[in-house]
Amino acid sequence: MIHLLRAAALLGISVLIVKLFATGQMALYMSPSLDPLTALTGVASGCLGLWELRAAVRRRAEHEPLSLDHALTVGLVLVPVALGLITTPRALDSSALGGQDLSRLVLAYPSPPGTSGVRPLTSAEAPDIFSFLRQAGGAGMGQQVRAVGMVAHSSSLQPGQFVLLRYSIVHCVADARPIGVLVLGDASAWQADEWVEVRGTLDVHEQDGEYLVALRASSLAATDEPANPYLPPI
Amino acid sequence: MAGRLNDFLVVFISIVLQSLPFVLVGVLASSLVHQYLSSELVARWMPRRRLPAIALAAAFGFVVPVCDCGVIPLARRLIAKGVPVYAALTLLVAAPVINPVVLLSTGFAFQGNLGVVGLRAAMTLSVAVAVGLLASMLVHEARPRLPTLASGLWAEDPDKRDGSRGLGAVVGHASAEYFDVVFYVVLGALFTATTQTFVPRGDLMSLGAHPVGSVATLMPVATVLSICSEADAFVARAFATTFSLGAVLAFMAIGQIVDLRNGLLLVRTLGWRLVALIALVAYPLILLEGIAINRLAGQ
Repeated sequence: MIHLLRAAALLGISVLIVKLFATGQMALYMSPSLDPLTALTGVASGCLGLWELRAAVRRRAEHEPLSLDHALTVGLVLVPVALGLITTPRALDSSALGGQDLSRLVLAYPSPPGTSGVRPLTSAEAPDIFSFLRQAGGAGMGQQVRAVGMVAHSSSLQPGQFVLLRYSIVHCVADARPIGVLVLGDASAWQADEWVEVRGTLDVHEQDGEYLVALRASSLAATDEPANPYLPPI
Repeated sequence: MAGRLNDFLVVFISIVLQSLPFVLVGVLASSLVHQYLSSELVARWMPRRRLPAIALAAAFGFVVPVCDCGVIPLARRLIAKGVPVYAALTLLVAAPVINPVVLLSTGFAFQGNLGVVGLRAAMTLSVAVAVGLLASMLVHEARPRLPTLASGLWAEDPDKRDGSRGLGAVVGHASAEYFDVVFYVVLGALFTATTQTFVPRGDLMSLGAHPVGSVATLMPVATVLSICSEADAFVARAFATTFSLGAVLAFMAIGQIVDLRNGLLLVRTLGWRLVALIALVAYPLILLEGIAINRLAGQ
């Protein structure tokens, strides 16, 4: 019985990992950089589960005592497995900010940005703002960019401004860090946490001695939540 | 699904998913030690004097790529094999931070700032050595009676078994120990997800610049967040714009020594006395070091 319970829990973990990969939901929990490790864990759990199943079959004639400890242990391990199998989660939204002031989460340049040193962009498509900032750093004012994120409103922002909210993760959602881009444009018609695509030019907004990364919006459109809603560390 | 409940679920499941591979590595390492490292070998190689033993344990931390989840079963097994408790505690505190993977990730997160990497390692090592020294004075039994884990029956001592060896024995033992460990990982993940979701963090930020208050504020935050040692530097860097340098370093040091996720497992593994010793040494020492760093940095 003990081996059978262990086999159920281990195979359950393996099935959960397979389900999350198959449905694309793994990206809602873990960074894609950990996918190989997670896949390996699924394989290892499956192998251990089969090992335990084999032990259960071999010892089926023996009457192993099943204590409350054993049942509790396996029961608790099965809780996240069952939750992961039956639920369809959403990406973190503004409810995960925990009362943090949005204006303090907005990306800022360490020093006044300029236009020099920008790599020429060969693609006709406006680059994603986060990729572009990684490449160009403090250069590139006036560059046409696009950004996808959730609308976030705050009383600390001026009229005609809103924040495009994303979360970046290193390993998993537990280490998620909110990141905001200040958008100079009107989003009063949009609900908080709605996913939108903003197109416009990269700009800077000086506020309280800080040089905030700003996106001067030329268009704003509703969009679907990306398959991987989380960004790598910025 | 309601926002907070959704946040709780994704954080809870993600902590469990993230911990599983490291728990597997830890229990496999523990099982290999269990099967192939004899008590006689440990007795032969372990220095008899406490200072060299503590130094060896700390140095071992530099080469063992285990995080705070994986090091607990390994340390427990080493104690069972005759490694003095104080040396195992030194390894337990030091290894999750001073291993090459974590030092590299810290350097990466802080854009190659070797000062931050060095200070983080030094703060962790100072606690590891202090805990080791104090334990060597306070714990007199060579092999103290450690608490039996919930499924102690599954983790029977192979030295008393029928001499089974080889891969089968390693896998069988690893599977049994896996459940001993993962029970507390899941329980810790429940606590961590609950606090991360329902305790507001916004108010904490107002204390960020105070040289003492910032350190005292970020330390319990690290304990509650319980972020893996390979990821916490990236979160700490986010705090660097709001909090003092000493606070950010204290966040990275204490978070791997006293954290909610592994706290229950640690208590079950080592007992309240030794866990209290670690916490009572780590908290004041890291607090003082954080404040001292702020003073030296002029913050």
